[in-house]
Amino acid sequence: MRWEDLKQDIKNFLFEFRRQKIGIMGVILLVILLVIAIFAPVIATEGAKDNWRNMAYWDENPADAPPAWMNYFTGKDMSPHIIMDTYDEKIEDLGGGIKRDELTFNYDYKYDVPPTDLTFKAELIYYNAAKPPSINMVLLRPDGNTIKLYSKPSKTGKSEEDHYVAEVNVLVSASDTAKKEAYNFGREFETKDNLKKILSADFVDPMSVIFSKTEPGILLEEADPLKGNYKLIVDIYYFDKRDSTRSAKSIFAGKVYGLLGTDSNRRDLFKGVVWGTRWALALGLLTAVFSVGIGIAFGITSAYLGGWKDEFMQRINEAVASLPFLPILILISAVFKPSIWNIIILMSLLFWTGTAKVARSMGLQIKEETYIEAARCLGAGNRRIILRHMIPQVMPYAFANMALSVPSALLTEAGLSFLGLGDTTVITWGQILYGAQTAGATLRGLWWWVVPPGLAIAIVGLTFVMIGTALDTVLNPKMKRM
Amino acid sequence: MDEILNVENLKAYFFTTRGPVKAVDDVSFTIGRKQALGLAGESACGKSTLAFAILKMLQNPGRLVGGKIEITGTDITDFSESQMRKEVRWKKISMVFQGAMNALNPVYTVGYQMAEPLMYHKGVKKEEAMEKSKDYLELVGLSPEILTRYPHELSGGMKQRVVIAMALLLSPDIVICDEPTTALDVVVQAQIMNLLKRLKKELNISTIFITHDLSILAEVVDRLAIMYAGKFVEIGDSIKVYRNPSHPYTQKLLGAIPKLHEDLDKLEYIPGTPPNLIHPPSGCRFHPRCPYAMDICKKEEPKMKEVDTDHFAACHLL
Amino acid sequence: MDPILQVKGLKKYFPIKLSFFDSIRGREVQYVKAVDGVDFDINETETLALVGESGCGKTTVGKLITRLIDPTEGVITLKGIDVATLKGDDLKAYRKEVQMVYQDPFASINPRFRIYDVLEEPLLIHGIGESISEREELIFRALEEVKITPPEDYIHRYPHMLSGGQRQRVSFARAMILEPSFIVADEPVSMLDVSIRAEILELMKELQQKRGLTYLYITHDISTSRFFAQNIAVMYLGKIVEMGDVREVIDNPLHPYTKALLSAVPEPIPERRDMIKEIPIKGEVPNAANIPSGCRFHPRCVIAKDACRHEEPELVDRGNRHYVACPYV
Ligand SMILES: Nc1ncnc2c1ncn2[C@@H]1O[C@H](COP(=O)(O)OP(=O)(O)OP(=O)(O)O)[C@@H](O)[C@H]1O
Ligand SMILES: Nc1ncnc2c1ncn2[C@@H]1O[C@H](COP(=O)(O)OP(=O)(O)OP(=O)(O)O)[C@@H](O)[C@H]1O
Ligand code: SF4
Ligand SMILES: [Mg+2]
Ligand SMILES: [Mg+2]
Repeated sequence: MRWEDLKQDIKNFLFEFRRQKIGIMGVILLVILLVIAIFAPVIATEGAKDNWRNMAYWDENPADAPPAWMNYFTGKDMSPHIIMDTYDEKIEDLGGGIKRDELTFNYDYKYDVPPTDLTFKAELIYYNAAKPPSINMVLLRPDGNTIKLYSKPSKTGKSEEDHYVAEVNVLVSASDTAKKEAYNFGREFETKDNLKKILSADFVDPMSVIFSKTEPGILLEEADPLKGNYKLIVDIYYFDKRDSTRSAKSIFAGKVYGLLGTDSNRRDLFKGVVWGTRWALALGLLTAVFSVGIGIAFGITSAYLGGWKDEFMQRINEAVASLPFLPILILISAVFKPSIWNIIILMSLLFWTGTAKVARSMGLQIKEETYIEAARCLGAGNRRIILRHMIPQVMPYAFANMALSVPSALLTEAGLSFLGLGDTTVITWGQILYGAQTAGATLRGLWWWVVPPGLAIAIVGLTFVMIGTALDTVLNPKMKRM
Repeated sequence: MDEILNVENLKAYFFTTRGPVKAVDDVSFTIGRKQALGLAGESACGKSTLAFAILKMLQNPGRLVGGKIEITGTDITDFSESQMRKEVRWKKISMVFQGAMNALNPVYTVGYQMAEPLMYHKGVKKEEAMEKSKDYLELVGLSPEILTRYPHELSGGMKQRVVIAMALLLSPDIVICDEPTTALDVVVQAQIMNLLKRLKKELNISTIFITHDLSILAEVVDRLAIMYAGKFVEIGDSIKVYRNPSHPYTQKLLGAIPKLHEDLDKLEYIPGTPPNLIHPPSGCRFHPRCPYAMDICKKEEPKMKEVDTDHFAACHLL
Repeated sequence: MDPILQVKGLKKYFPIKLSFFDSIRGREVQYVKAVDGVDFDINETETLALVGESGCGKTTVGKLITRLIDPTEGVITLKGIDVATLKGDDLKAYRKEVQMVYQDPFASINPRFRIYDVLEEPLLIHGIGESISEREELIFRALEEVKITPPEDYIHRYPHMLSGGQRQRVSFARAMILEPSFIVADEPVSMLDVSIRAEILELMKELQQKRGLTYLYITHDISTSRFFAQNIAVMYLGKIVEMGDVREVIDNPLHPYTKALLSAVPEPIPERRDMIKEIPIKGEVPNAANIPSGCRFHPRCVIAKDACRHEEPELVDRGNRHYVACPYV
């Protein structure tokens, strides 16, 4: 085929395709999906892919947080997830080798529902093994009240060269001081009745007290939120001149998180879904191309050869079609690690039978066309007739069918993952769903863990179905007669 | 003479994405009682479109864009679809569609397919409808047992007879037969033509025969119209048109028919192909293929002229 | 003149596929006797018209001659070669000698092929033309020969961009490019408008004279065969019932079937418009799977005698090489 002709062909095709509204929508969706897949490292961090199963990587996130845009629907403004690593630092020498390092984090609270937790993290470097630094944390509220949150010497650090590094990780929700202080702070404003309802300080959520107005109900999470500028002040006392603070940050753990929330392992589901696009497309397309290719070649050859050869090939087809996919896969995963490539190969080797059946019946029709007989009369051999005359006739069906079989490949992989037979070294939507299933996400109402990956599978499916149907109409083998 | 159908300046276009296909462009003719009009012309010249236009059954994107249709004195040009269905189609005018014998529904018996329109249009009971269908089957030379048969059990000729019987069921004044014999063997074709001739005499109906085969038409029609590229180029008494063709196209068309009992050294043919009806040639639409074309032919459209009594042709030569 | 093609006792029976139940019940396999004992010769550069109603086996004869199917019985010899025994390279060489042109000019050309591809295919199959430019020249010449000019305007078109007549000429060019000596033309003009039929027939005649071609002209249109062929053979249900010089047979038909066939041919004589035509034939064509005994025409024959039910008449020369298979005429 000449380049000119090919150009003309493509032009004609595009002209026709452009009239297919559904097809255009499909293509737009596909482009979006491709962009997401290609720019996954930009959209979601590179680290997310490699650390998906490394739980420590995610520990700063809130667990089970719904997506941030939930605020628009609940009517209440829930605090988002905020990580602050900028702060004002004031170092003061108190004499006698004692030094105070004062870190002030400014937190602008303007929400209705307070953060789930407040964490302070830092690495404290100290030189005198006998004198680890001591930490005090207070919160200065906009109304001028202060609440003490923490006060303890740091744990002994790891020794490094000539000094020690103590890792501080203070969780307000886990701090006894904070609980007690919050309770004491709140009870002044409570009514007697309310106080009766509270059995002990342990039943009070310090976060809620901290961010509430000083009015009755403060301890019961019933008071209005107190909006304004809060200051988290962390005083670290060092006992050596060389001691210092490193990578300090405070985390106001969100009631909501990011675009798609987090799962029970605190993983950012948005990042998972974005990275899942890559495998979804690769897996769907590869399986579709391989299985449809095998099916077309098999079906057409069977139709053309006819007679007992056709009969024999049909029996093979039926035999393969009746092979149970799951038991085979279970068997294989018992022997090999169920890698994604094995899954693709296996699906390709098992999924061609339907295509082959249709291709065969199309082939039987094409075989009867006069131009096939004309080609035989000209002396054309079997190979030429199959390759030049028959296969091109079914190519439109092949393309359409490829597009249409992407969703089923995707669903199969999801199904396998759901059964725990997926490849656990990659992120696929199926794997995310599997995680949700094992964590009982649906029972616990964590819909954001289930719906997005499910929806993503549906969207990719829809994309290819739309493209497939449009291709089917445009490339329909019925050539348009003038 | 008693006028059954009067068509005046009829125009029917197909509004395709490439532009309007002027399939029927300014066609006028009349048919009297018991008259048979032949409509001949090359493929795609608009014969079937004209028939559909008269029945107001043009397929999308077809539209009637002008002219007037009168059937037995009633102007039906502005009739609505439901009026056409209730008052005109099948009752006043019916049609044997091109390839209709292959369009019989394979899952119903012939009897059911014949009785159904009777029950629908005339509101008669099933037994009565079956009785009537039987009569009409006999009329077209089929045995009544055909009623219980399925289309695939019938030969091509029998199916064509069934289709003709169906067109006659509601005793229309005029029947249009679109290619009633193409795809049939010569013997069957001759038998069907005999049948149609007989029906014309016995039933007092007028007919329009559409075909591209002038030899078949010669055997049945009283008047002949020659159509080229959406227009009539010649119309008149069939003997006059056959014996004294006036338009160059008619002459060429008749010259292209091989003779069974005469030896010819050369067959005539018309070089070139019929024009595209989206951009038909200016002036006389036949001029690019006409051996006598003059300058005026390219510029001015020839008017229908009377060459003889009841014989008209549209050519600048006349 | 020597016959270039000889056909003797040619038979082709197609088995009717039995249903599974019938086959285990041991029902005998039945056959459609599409061609049931056909003999004829065709002289070099002459044309034999094969006429008859639909389903009488005309196309099957054509396919047997082109070796698209194998005969059940009988011998076909072309230029002294026994066609049935050809294999491999010999068969391929035979394909260059004998070509077929089909009825439907749309269906016989792959709709996805450009005219150039259509004509290049036979060259590629037979390894004709070393280089692209050589092949291109051959293709141009073939198109010019069938009056598709200028060829460069057409080679890049798809079949649907051509009119029916042009497509049929491309089919001819495709057959002619292999320079065959024998062409089976299976109703080559029956799908075309009357106004262009003549053009194709004229073209075929011209090629015949220029290239010394021999034709088997299959048709159901007897009037074109008078113009186009020298000899005619009338087939009925797989057998030839009458054969001879085309003028002799048409002007002086002997077999009752030929007579009926000829009486049915429409003629452009408007004076007869009110006459009901007499067609001397009864009933309908019987099923080819169930051929009547004796003379296979007897159930429809208007002069049938009792003997016709049992005795199958031979094709006999009645003088002047006019063969008839009916002893009662
Ligand atoms: N539904 C349609 N849409 C667009 N164009 C149409 C349609 N039906 C017919 N035409 C065009 O209108 C013209 C006349 O068609 P029509 O079927 O009337 O021809 P015809 O004379 O009956 O031909 P034939 O002898 O092949 O039946 C043709 O050019 C055809 O392509
Ligand atoms: N491959 C086949 N298998 C079974 N039966 C066949 C096959 N080919 C042809 N026949 C039958 O053989 C008979 C002769 O067919 P053939 O095509 O030769 O007729 P024909 O004279 O060419 O008819 P037409 O004028 O319709 O083309 C028919 O009854 C047909 O059904
Ligand atoms: S008007 Fe001119 S072009 Fe048309 S038919 Fe007559 S002579 Fe030919
Ligand atoms: Mg038509
Ligand atoms: Mg045939």
